[in-house]
Amino acid sequence: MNYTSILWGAVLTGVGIFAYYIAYIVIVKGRLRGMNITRELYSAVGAFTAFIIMMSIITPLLSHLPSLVTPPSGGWVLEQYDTIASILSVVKIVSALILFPIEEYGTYSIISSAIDGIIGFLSGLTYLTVMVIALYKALLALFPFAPLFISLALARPNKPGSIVLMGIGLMTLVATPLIGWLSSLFYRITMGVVTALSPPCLDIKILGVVYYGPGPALVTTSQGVFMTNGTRYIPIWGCEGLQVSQVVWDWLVLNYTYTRLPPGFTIIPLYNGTLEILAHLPFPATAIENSSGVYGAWFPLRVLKYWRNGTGYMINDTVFFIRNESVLFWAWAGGVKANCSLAVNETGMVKTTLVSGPMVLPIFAPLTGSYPPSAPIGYRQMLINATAFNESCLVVFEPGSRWSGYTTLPATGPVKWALAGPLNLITGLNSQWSNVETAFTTVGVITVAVTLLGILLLPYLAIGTAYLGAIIVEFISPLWGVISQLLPF
Amino acid sequence: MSVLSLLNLPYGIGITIAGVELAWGLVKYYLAPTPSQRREAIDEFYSIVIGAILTATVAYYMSIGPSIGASIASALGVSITQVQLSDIQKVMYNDFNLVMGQYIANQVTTFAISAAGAILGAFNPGKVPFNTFEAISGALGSLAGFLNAIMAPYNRALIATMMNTIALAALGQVMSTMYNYGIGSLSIALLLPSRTRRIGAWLASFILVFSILLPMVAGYQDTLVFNYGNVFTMWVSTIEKHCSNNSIMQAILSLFLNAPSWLKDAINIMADFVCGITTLPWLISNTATLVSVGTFNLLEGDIIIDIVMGIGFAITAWLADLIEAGARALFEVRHL
Repeated sequence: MNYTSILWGAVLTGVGIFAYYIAYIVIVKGRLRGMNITRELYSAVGAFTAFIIMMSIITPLLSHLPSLVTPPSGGWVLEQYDTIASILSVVKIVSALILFPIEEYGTYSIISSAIDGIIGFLSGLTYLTVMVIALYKALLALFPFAPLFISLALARPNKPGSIVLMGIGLMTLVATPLIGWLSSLFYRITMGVVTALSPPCLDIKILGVVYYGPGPALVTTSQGVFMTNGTRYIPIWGCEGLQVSQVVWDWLVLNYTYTRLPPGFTIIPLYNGTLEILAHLPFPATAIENSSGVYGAWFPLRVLKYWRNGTGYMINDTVFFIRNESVLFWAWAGGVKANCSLAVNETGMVKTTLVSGPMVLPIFAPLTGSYPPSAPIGYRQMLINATAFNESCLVVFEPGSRWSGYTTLPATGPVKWALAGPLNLITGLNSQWSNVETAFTTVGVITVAVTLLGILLLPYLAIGTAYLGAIIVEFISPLWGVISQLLPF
Repeated sequence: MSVLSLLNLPYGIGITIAGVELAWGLVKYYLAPTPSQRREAIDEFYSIVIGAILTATVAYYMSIGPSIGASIASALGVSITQVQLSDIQKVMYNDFNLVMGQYIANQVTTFAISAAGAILGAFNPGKVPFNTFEAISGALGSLAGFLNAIMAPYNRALIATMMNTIALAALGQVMSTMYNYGIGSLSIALLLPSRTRRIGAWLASFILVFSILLPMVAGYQDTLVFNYGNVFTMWVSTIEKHCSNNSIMQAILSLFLNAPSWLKDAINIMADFVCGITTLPWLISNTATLVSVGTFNLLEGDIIIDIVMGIGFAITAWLADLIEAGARALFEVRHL
């Protein structure tokens, strides 16, 4: 915006004020009342000259100050805040719906505090930005009147009211572009943070998950990862589809199919239906399992040889009995032992994978539950040929490391987004770091400058203007004498 | 209007003092032993006449101050309510009540939703796979948080507005009392004697500036409150309207037809919010637009009022000095 023309319009008003003031001193006080006006005239003319000099200096200086930018939209900043705060709050509601029935109050309390923290930070930043923008808009309205305040102050420079008016006038001239610049900085900082925090959409849903297969399984979906052992509820973004990309059990990648069933009733529109997952190994393996978790699996693939009265059967989860048979086993176990001939070969028949829980900050990890170690420890995938001819044989499968897990709060969709909030906040602030530094340095410089101006400059203003006026009047008086001689009237 | 009625307030004090000074001038004139002393008395008489004209001007000016203020605001492109000096306190009090009402309604609704959640959570149906009461309890508790988060900036804006309305109401009360007790005309009368000139100048300056500024700012504040002071109610009404066709909500509400009105209202608001939450994208976009516009405009208006009032006081101090100097030039009796 070009404010120079507006500024000079106001300068003319100031010139008018001085013209009236000087005319009043000369005509009313000097001529009509016959008073001694020397000192007052010196002051008035000095003030007028100081005003012109000051405005002449300030006007080109203004071009070196940041230009008067169009005020950023404070309403838009608040709108962004309200949107993010709403979505974060709905994540709290959805978390409560999931966690309260299973009496996970502590977990809810932690996620609630984390979300409140993000909202609190964003609220503070937004409020600061909006206040600076509002201040800038107010100063912008005041800006064209700044010369008027300066002229009023200079007209009677040695009075307390004048000092305040001078402060208002000068600060409006100098501070408006600076505050405008500052408001743009704060706007950029807030929008940077807001952009980093922005949710994919405004629609949050709860999806029921029904899992059929060996469990607990780690299900990886396009909206996040969770563990399930049957039925559970997960939060998802309504605007994004949900694809299951992997189902893992005991680090073994399962074959799976899945179906999205629409909600059977619409009384709770937050409910988005059911995801039914059917998963299985290529064969019906027996899990090496006890109450503390899963330790592997095995399966007799085929009877390779069969002699007379040959037999083979499972004794328990870890032991298989054979007699007069040669059996080929597949096993995912720590090892295998038998009191008969064994031929063990490593195999990759069933694909295994590294697993990981949801990617959240370490402080939030307990919220999401417990997950298995990323890689299996002490496991071998084996093809075992056990042969027991004319003898009884016990094939014992040794356990590997423990596979278990339990999802407290599924870190999927909106919860995943909310838990990444603090990290996104830091990312957003980092991307705007130079602006953050500049903004706070500017605030410091403005504070120091205002203090110094107030302490050092203003008390000398009155003396300065009086001396200046004396010089001008003493210079003009003889000049006027010469000119008046030339005039015919 | 009889001449004697001029002695009533608000002009009475000023006219009485001017009358006393006039009488003193007459006494001086008749008792003056020398021509120069009689000249002094005539000077004093002229001063009183000028003072009387100024007194009438100030009294008239105080009565038309609000319309001058409205004209100035209009020239600056701001349309404001025209508030008379005597009405400022009442108008600001009403605005304060409206804004405070919004703030309290917001807090009470938040508390009611939170409390309803806590009460529902206390129901224990025993070991069930999905405890509906617990789920609703948690959801209502979080809904209270939702309200808090959304309305936090607006609540801050409301507090700033409340502070402004209190300050303006106090100033309005002072100005109105000054007007009723004739301080405007008294201030001019106080300019005549040299001993009271300073306080007279300050009072006259204050009255001159704030007779225009205060109605203007109060009108602006009133307009702000009228436009943006009831965002919470507007928000609730919008949700209510949006949910009026939701048959399930209506069915739930019909269960409470015979409930006490406060309970019915509370359940109504809660049901509206729950219904709102279920149509989330609509609720969020609608809320964000409505609340953010109201909040920003209210905040901006508050800052403008604070700045303008600061400038008003600076100009008062500046003008007081000028008036004092002018009064000295006009009313100082020259001792010959």
